[in-house]
Amino acid sequence: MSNIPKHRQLPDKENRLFKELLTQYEYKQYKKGLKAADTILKKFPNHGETIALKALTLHSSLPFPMTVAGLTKQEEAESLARLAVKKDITSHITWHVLGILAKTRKDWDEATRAFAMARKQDSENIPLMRDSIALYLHTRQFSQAVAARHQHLLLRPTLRSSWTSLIIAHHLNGDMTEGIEVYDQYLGIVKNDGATSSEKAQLLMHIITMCMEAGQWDDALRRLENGLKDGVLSTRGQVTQLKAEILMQLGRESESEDVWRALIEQNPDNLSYYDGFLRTKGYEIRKSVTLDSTSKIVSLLNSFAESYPKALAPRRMCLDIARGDEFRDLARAYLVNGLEKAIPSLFVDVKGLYVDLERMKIVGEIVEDLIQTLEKDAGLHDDDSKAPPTALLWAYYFLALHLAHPAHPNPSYDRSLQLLSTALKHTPTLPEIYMAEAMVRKRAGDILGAAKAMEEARLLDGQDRFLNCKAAKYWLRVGEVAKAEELTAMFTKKDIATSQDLTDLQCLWFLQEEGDSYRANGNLGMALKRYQSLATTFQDYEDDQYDFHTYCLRRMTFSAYYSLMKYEDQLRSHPAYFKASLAAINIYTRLHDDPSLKEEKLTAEEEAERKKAAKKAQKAEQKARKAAAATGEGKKEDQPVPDEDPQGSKLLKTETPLDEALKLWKPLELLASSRIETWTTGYQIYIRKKLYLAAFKCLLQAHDIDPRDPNLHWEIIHFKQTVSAVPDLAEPVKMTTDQLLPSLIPSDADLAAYNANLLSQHSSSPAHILGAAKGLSELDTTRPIPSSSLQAIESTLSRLAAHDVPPSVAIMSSALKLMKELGAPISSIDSLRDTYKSRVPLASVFESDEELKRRRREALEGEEVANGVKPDL
Amino acid sequence: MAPATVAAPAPKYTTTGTVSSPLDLESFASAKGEHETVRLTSAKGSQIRPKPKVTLTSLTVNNSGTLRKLNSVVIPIVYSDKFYKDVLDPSLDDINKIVYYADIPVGAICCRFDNQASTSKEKPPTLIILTLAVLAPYRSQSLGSALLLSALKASLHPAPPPPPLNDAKAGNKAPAPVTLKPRKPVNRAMAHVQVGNEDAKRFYERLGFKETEVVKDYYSKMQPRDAILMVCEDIRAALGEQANGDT
Repeated sequence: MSNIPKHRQLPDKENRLFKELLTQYEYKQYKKGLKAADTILKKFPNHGETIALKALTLHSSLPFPMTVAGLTKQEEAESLARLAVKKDITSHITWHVLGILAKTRKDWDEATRAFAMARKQDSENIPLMRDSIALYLHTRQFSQAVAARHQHLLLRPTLRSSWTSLIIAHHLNGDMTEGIEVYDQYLGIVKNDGATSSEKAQLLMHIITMCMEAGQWDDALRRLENGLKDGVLSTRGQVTQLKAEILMQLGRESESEDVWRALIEQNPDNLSYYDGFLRTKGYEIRKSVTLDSTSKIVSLLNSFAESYPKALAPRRMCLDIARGDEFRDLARAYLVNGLEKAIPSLFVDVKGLYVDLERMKIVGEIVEDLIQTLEKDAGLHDDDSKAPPTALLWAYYFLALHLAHPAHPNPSYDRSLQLLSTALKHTPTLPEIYMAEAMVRKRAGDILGAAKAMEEARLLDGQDRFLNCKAAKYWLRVGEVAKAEELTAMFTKKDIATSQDLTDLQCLWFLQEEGDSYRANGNLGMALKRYQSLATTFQDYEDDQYDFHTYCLRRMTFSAYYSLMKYEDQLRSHPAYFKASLAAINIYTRLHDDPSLKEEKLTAEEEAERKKAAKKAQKAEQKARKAAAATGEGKKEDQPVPDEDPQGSKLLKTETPLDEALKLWKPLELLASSRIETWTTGYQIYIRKKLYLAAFKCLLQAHDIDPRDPNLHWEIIHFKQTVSAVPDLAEPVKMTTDQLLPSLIPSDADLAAYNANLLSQHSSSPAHILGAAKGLSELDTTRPIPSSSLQAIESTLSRLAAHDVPPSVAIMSSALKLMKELGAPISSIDSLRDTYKSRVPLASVFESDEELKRRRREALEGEEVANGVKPDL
Repeated sequence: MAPATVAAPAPKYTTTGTVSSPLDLESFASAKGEHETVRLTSAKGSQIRPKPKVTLTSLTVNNSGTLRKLNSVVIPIVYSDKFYKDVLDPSLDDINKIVYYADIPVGAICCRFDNQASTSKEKPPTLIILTLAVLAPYRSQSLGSALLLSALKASLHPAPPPPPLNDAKAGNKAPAPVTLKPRKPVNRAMAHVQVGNEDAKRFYERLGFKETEVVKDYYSKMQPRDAILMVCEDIRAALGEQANGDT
């Protein structure tokens, strides 16, 4: 007792109170606790540990969901916790409380520091240690975690989890040998650890994978076979797969082959088993297949197909490998089987072959032929049996999607739509046909017709949420946010806004599509709001992993935990994050270029509408308040905290758009470095921040991925023009660019010729034509751009409608946008649009604005007439 | 032929026609009773291979759109919204069905009852077939017979009505769900066939219906306007059942 510092000592009475306070906190008697704390503090206002406990009690009594009153209490708790540390900096309690508060705030770094400080004061406190380790793991400080685990083991050597957790910590730290060593010692010391058989199996499996990762194949095999012998492991599933893998690595191919065969017998539809089997024969079919090995592989797979007549996997794999007539026969059999069985996903399954145009062509021919046979009501087999009528229907569906597939060298949307209307005459009740029509119309640029077709599919079955979401998505593509929300609201919670519910449900596609829709409508604030909530969702995913650092080790699910950690490390490489952040960055850079976008420009009509809506909202609020007052509940403080920025205007009015953009971009730099858009977008941020070296690095990285990328192309020109126009370029920048720029573009190159060169080399690629046009616009740096340059740009862009160029509606739209940005006269924009329209007559996006508005109104009104069916959930 | 007073069989749910036990069309290919020999499968006699899965499903608000689509394509009459509301009556749940062929809805039957509570000889309780539609490419495969026979069967052996929906979400505002009483068995059925529609007439005859009279000006908006009234006086006999419910 004597070593308690003076400022921490309390007289007996207060000391008793303090102990009570601790139990009251344990038993969640927060009100009593606060009272006790205040009594102590009245006499000893400087007692740090009491202040800390008061902060903790206050913090634990906060309401959920957070209310207005709760918010001020939370602030009070935070400041108390900081004050406590100041008053008593050597107490583990004060630091521990600070750490707990930071942890709930999800400020992981501060929490880690606070816990480390707390441990310094009380190094043998086990709960403290456990929290601290979880935080080290969460912040990926593995060596610290190993050290802490070690200490934990020394303090609690009889606990099983002390050992196993140390093994995992070593694994995460990349030290396999040490981890395996610990395991062996653990086996030697703790004989009867009380683990269940599945827990033992999980641990052993994890050790085996660690051996494999360390390249100790012999050891791995020995452990695996012992495990099987002792009955710890079972032969089903993954164990056998690992065994086959290990045998393969040890060069024992024939043994490995037998194991793979056994696995295939367990599940003849698992593609990876066939991959493994073929590897033992020396064929790496996912990489490359030589011409002469083709027939051998096909015959191997065929023998499996014969043994397992119901298995589709070997049949489908054959299609990836076979060529020519052999392919034609195999593909025909595969397609006939799929069509007769009415497998809806047949096209999605087969379109993987379309990377090869020859195979694609053959598939098309086969289906054309099948349709002709089926239309004559003939059977598809040699006997006198008949195909079910659905076979013809699915064949129409297949061919329609085939003809409109983006990989098709000459897509024929008209024929495709014609086939679908024949299919609809055949069977008008199959939603897939309407969905296919929507998809084809979307590809042809007729997004309004697409939305209408999707709506028709939805009306067939009101309780089908998939159709409902699809229809909502297509309405969003048209820009009808209200209509789309009306649809999604049929399935979301009734008491909150549908967009709020979908945000809470972390519905990524909805956030992305609604953001896009707002962006297309010019409502940049709301667009940013949606994109940012998508980014926040990813932060939530990352934070959610915290609980698993303790949970998984307690449940002994090591392999799952390890793969979770690996997954979290590359979380933001997810395509949804990639897409949303690129879209948001694009808005931020636009805001930087043109701050006037931050002010909303409303027409008189919109203004009136806005006012009306505001009035309505005000009235509704008043009504709600009255109702709340009548029932006597809901004082203002008890209300949940309202959304601070319902219209996204705070996001829009940011002072530092480029910094916001950079925040979104940083994870991409690490996790999506193999995608060229990451670098071409990074350039856009850095060049605006005038960080020339960073911008230049982006160009170099992009150049490594694809030197002929159309966006990179004009950015190089832009960079060269920009740098040469900067009068006082810093010396290191100048040196670096002088040295390395020639690797991107010859220093003496004529930029105009360089640009023309791109066009001539990729004269039939729409993206490159647009890139070259942008290059032209960068060549002439005078603004407004003179009409001679504008004409050159226009004539380049008009090539997009040429007959040897595959029509791309998206790129044509960007071309028109580019013309608008450059300030081209309305007449030339209109004539360009007409050129495009004649090339893709179905594309509604090239209609004039009035015509589009009229059609949209018509579509929505038509909707109301047809909309007699509402789901009843 | 008068229906004997037999004790109604204990009501029970049947799983026939659901995904777990699909219908076997071949069992419908020959109608029971006096027309046993008539085979309904296609004239050519070629078998359809592979055999598709055929299931029945009840009408709900949600698949109303599908029913509308089927009727509008097959039947040249536009039915009112009221029609589509009435056929959803929970007491008809075991009669009105959509048939799924390989998971695609291809046909539907809609009926109602007349004089359900009547005991008089002149106006006996009757099942009226309102619409029976099967999409053209799926005909001659006994789908129509399957629908009609399932309706006749249900008319004779009423299933207990579906349990009331648990409408907890709607709160207390919704009226308390009423538990429906089971129907009485109905042994008489009737359908209208347009004059000149020989195929349909033959179809009903095969299943035990007889031509009785011609109703003048039955249809108001199509030619010919007259309809033949087809009546099945004894469903039990048409199904080939004995009075005690055995087959």
